Amino acid sequence: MSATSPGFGARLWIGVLSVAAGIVLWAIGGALWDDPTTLPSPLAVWKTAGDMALSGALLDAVLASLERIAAGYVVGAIAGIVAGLLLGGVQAIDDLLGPIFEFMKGIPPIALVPIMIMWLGIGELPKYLIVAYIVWVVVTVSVVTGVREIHKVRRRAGWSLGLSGPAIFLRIILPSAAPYLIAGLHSAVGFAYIALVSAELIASRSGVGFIIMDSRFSLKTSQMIVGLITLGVMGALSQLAFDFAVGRSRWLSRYRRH
Amino acid sequence: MLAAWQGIAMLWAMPLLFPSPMDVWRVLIGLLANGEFFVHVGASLQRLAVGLIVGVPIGAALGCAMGRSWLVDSAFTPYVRMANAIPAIALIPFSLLWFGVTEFARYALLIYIIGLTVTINARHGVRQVPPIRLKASQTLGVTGLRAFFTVVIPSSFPSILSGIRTAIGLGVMVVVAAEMLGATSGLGYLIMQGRANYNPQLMFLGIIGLGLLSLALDRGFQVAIERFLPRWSVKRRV
Repeated sequence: MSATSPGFGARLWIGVLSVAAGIVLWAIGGALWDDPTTLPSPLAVWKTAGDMALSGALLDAVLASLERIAAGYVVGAIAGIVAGLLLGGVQAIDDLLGPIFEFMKGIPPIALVPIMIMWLGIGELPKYLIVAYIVWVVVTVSVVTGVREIHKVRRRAGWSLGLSGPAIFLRIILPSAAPYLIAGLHSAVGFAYIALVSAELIASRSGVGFIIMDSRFSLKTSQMIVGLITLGVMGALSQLAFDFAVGRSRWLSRYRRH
Repeated sequence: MLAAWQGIAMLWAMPLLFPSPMDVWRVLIGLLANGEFFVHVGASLQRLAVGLIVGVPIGAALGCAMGRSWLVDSAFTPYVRMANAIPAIALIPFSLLWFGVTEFARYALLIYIIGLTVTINARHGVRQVPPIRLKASQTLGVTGLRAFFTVVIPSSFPSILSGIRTAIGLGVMVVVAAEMLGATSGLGYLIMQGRANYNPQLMFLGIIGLGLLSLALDRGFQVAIERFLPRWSVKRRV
């Protein structure tokens, strides 16, 4: 298919041209429309971004959101690994709780926001839990798949070589499931942002999601666009940071699948 | 499990915070009796259906074009990357600003998220077509557009199908969020109503309904593929 594909340079140029064309079209559209609450010009958005960055409002929001992502992600990932190993590895637990998990994993995190607020108020805890919930679901699914995909031969080889139960767990099950775990942790980063935005749109007084929702009510559209772009940059950087961390760690990069 | 839930609820005896299954059941019966429950489930399903019917062809076409032509690919990749980095739920306030609290705003969001997800998967699928298949078809004298339709599309079908499956899951998330933030019907609206009226039974009902709905949609999609498109069954071949 890619027999005639040109080099990286040409592709980059087309990409840059395409983005430049998009911005020009946006500017023309904004000028023609002439209604900054519907379509502010790129320049207005740029100015707003500068103001928000200088006043520190943007940094505060980013830090508030990052804290929620980090806390929720860590809790959710640990819970997901434990739950995934139990559900995938122990038949009795799977029989008992498997159907309930199947049902729970279909519940969008945003649907839980009102209940969490009712139970826990609008402090930080419900936001951590909403993020943790979706990370937990995503990681559990991937670890369960990982544990189930392990070839029986590997386990039997372990048994016949005289490994004990815990040794089989540590030396066969964990390393075999690790690639799935890493893939799950990777996609959980994106889902964590979905949950974060859900929680911040509905019930928050801080964070990037709050900026977006607040701009809707005050009709500050350029501020909303700055919030959206910030969110995109944060999401993309988090994914890169994750890949970088996995790539750097010699122990983890062994298990990465390309 | 249900027994445990009822037990906890009875011990706690705080129906305003933690309704028992009996309470939720009673609310469900009430909503079933006057048909309201079906109206809300139907509203959510209808929005999803519109999103799929419009979004899947757009996504598949764009994704195939991106996978096949490096020019289209380089032009659209920055936008797809950017769109993919921003959670679709964050665009809800934007859609409300542009389109107001209208059905169109919700359709637009669903078409967007479903189209985007299918685009990414279709592009991936088209690029993953084994070169040997194309060479084989070339040797057999099948080239150009004909090769595209007879070789590339069928080979990338599994990837497109799994894209649609992911898109349904994301679509449920987006439709609920859209209904919670600006709608007068749908399961998300039901949950928000429960919050506004301090009616936790209604919230529980909405959440349980959602869990069952997305489970049913996911299973239904898989069963439909097994049944109607067995060639592209997602079941793992061992």
